[in-house]
Amino acid sequence: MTRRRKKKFEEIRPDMTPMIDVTFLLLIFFIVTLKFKVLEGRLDAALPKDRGTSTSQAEEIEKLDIMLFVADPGELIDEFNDKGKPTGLQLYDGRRIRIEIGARKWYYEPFDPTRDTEDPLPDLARFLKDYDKEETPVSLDARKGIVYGDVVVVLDVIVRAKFEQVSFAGTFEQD
Amino acid sequence: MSRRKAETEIEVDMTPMIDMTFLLIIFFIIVNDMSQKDLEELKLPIAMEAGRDEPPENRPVLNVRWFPAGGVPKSVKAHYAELGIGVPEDQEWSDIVWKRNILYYPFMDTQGRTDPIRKGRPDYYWKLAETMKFVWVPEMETKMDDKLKKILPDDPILIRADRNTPFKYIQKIMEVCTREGILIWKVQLAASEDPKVVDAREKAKKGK
Repeated sequence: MTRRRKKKFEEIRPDMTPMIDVTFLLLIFFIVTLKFKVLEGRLDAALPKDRGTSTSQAEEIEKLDIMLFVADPGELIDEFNDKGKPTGLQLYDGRRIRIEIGARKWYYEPFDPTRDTEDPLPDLARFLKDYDKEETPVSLDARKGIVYGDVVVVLDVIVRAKFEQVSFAGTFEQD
Repeated sequence: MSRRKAETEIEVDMTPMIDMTFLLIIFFIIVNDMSQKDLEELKLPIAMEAGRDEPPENRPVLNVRWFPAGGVPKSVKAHYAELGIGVPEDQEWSDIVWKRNILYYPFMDTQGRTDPIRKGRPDYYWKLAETMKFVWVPEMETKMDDKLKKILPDDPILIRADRNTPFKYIQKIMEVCTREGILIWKVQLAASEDPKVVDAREKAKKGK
């Protein structure tokens, strides 16, 4: 009898160990997968709506054809951050691109680390000012050797000039 | 009596520790932004006027990765391992990742497909084309285009590429977008804002 009564008063202690184990596992999972939000921007563009890339039909609207060439290819070198540590990335050293609209030409050094906050292509921006931004379609034609970063710089200028119709030409290179 | 004393357990109070751990877990759950899971780690080019990106729901994100000569992506390594040949090291590579799936890599098995736009050429981008056609486009909102008298998808796709990626790889994606049955025409290119420009803009605002 006495034994029974004693049992009644015994505390029920659930075993916490598995829960703590699981909790720690979860904690470690979230620490490991943690990735802080990086701010990213975007530039909007549009592709030709009709099918295929061979849009050879002569269009009567005035069109702005911007062609990008590599003037001096430069060479890939390792990139270092402000503290002189390698970032594990590479950039082109001594590389220049040539932007052509009709007979006009502009030169630009894309990854110039000494570049200040000013407009990278002020002359091009000035040239684009005279166009009717709503009506003129712009097409960007990137030739051999042009990289994504070059295109974004030029597209940035076009977007800042408030052009509304931007499209891209197809590839000229073999796969 | 003495025996009983020896048997008494030393009980550590676990409650505060569990409390702390739960708090930490909740913190990490909140901080962990799951919407970033389809963004690969890339060094984006810098643009002065990149619009702040507020990602719409269900917008497909294509990550174009680029490997300069010397580095070989895993997918290509696996392919060469299958063939049993050494991987050429003096070559650059690129692949396209969507939600951690590789949709294109160099020398992808074409399974006999040919490019519908550039006729006769092998179509290495078939997986990308099929993903667009059967997964993305059916979920997109469509709109009638009066000029072409065609129903076109009206949602954008986002292309993110390493800044040194040759543009031909992105042009190729755009070509795939214009294929029959896909016709995605809204394209967004990812860029990061120049921290120097942002600083200067903030300063200018303060000055005024």
